[in-house]
Amino acid sequence: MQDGNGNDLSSFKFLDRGYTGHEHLLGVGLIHMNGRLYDPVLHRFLAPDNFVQDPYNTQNYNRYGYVLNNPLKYTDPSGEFFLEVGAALYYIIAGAIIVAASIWGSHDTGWSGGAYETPQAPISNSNNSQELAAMAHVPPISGSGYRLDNPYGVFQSGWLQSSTSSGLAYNTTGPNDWIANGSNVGRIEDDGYGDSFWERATNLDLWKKIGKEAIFGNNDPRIQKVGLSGLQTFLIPGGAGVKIFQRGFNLRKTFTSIRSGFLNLGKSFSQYKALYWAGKAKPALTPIINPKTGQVWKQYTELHHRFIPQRWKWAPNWLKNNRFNLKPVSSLQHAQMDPFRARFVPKWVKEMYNLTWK
Amino acid sequence: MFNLFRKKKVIQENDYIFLKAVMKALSNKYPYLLPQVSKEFILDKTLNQLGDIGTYTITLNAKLESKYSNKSLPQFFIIKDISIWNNLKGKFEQIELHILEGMIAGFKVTSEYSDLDLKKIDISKIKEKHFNNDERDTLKKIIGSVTDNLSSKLDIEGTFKVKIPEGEFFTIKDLGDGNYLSMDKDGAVYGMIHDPYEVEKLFDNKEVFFEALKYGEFNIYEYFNKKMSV
Repeated sequence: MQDGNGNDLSSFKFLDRGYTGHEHLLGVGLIHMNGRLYDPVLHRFLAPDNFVQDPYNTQNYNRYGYVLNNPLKYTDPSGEFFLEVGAALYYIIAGAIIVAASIWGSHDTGWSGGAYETPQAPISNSNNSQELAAMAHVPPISGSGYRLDNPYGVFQSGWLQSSTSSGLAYNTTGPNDWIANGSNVGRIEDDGYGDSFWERATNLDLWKKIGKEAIFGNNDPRIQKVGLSGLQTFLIPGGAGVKIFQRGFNLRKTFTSIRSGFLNLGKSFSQYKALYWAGKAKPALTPIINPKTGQVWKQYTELHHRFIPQRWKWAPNWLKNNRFNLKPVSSLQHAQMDPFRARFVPKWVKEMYNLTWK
Repeated sequence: MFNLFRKKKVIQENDYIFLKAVMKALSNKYPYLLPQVSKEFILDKTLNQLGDIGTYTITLNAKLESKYSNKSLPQFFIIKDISIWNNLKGKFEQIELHILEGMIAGFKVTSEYSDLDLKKIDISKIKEKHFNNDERDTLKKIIGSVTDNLSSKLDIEGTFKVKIPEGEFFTIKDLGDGNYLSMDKDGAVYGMIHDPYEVEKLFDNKEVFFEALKYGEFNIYEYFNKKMSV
């Protein structure tokens, strides 16, 4: 098999795989690029690209060309979406870092050793309560009880246990989960059902609401770590010793935790979007106006997942919601790139911009 | 260096000067237009391919939309026959403004700004051109009468009909990023999310929907955030 310049491609004997792992179909002189077949002699795909990833680039309208005719900058492993070489590298490096962080940060892999640390002077109940209320961002529901903000339904199957009858009151059975801090005593334990309070809380960023750093005690001198070999015990001064949770080393749970961390690390689309527009970027409103008929479609700047859509459940948040994958585009551009977005477009716009095929 | 790759704006200083002069002339009849002429709100302009020669669409800062939009005004109308003196031609020529929910959304001017005398603007013959909107009227019939407080939470004036395999729907709220809240002809309310694609029935009828909206049992933004957080 040869390419258009006469270079011999049949030297790729090993598994018949060539550049970016594409299969060489030696018998017919074509390259199977997964999404489409490519003719190396013509330097063209045999079928048109289903996606116009970059409407501003005229090269992208040649739907038979390989990666905007710029193979030095882009690759196309799937045959459907080209990837910037830098972006691919970013994903690889970011992935490695995240996995490493998941393993390093996993509570199940054990803490480094530490001695018992003497708790500092207790804080009064009222101060402690205020602190809890501030961390929970919600007003008290009764005299000494404070409710944790829980819009996502964390703990719906959770299990918290009061360590003393006069201590922590709890309710984790419904959308109004709360923890009441009576005498500052209570503990939260593993529920013994595979996943745990820790995992659910981590998945839904609960630690941010109740102060992750404070619970781990690194930045908050009022909360101390005790007995760091295997059994994780945390002591909140101001009351008796409080076991926030206790976990030992468990390989299966470690794996579950890493997988869970891998999938959930990174910002959700809502979080990313809020941060994006909180910056310097200005969301634009560019209406499409037909002054002859009076038809108007208010089109805004929308964030489009250009490589990895949200519907790919296997992909972790950090892979989906980042500056390489999310591109600000107008509503019309979004509809031209994403057939599902095109469905929610006014009929007259569909006809005018030939979106009816979608 | 990175500015080299940034998309250059079409709008120029002259555009702002021109718009300011026109809005000043109209300030008695349309006082809400003049404060809108700022670089903070008007970001750019593009040629409107659907209009005649010299018709432009204005790109607005959506962050300030709530400040300048006025839902009590007609959704869209054109202010026509604003006359400006053309020094080159030696006569008045007409320009027009496109007003979307009380915001300046476009204009038509056929001459170069340098040929126009912005001090000689005659607004004695101006008139408004309004348009029928069948889809909006249909939706209003479906919804019936609701309080201003409730309708302000929706975008009934800006509705449009969406025809998809699941049926025909009228959008009642743009949730952003290509997602909508919509209502069918029977008054059932749906969430329409494009990625992952989902048309989800949220309320069987409008009465339950408006009750939930009124008493805070259903929050549009919480619904969308929840959808986008998974």
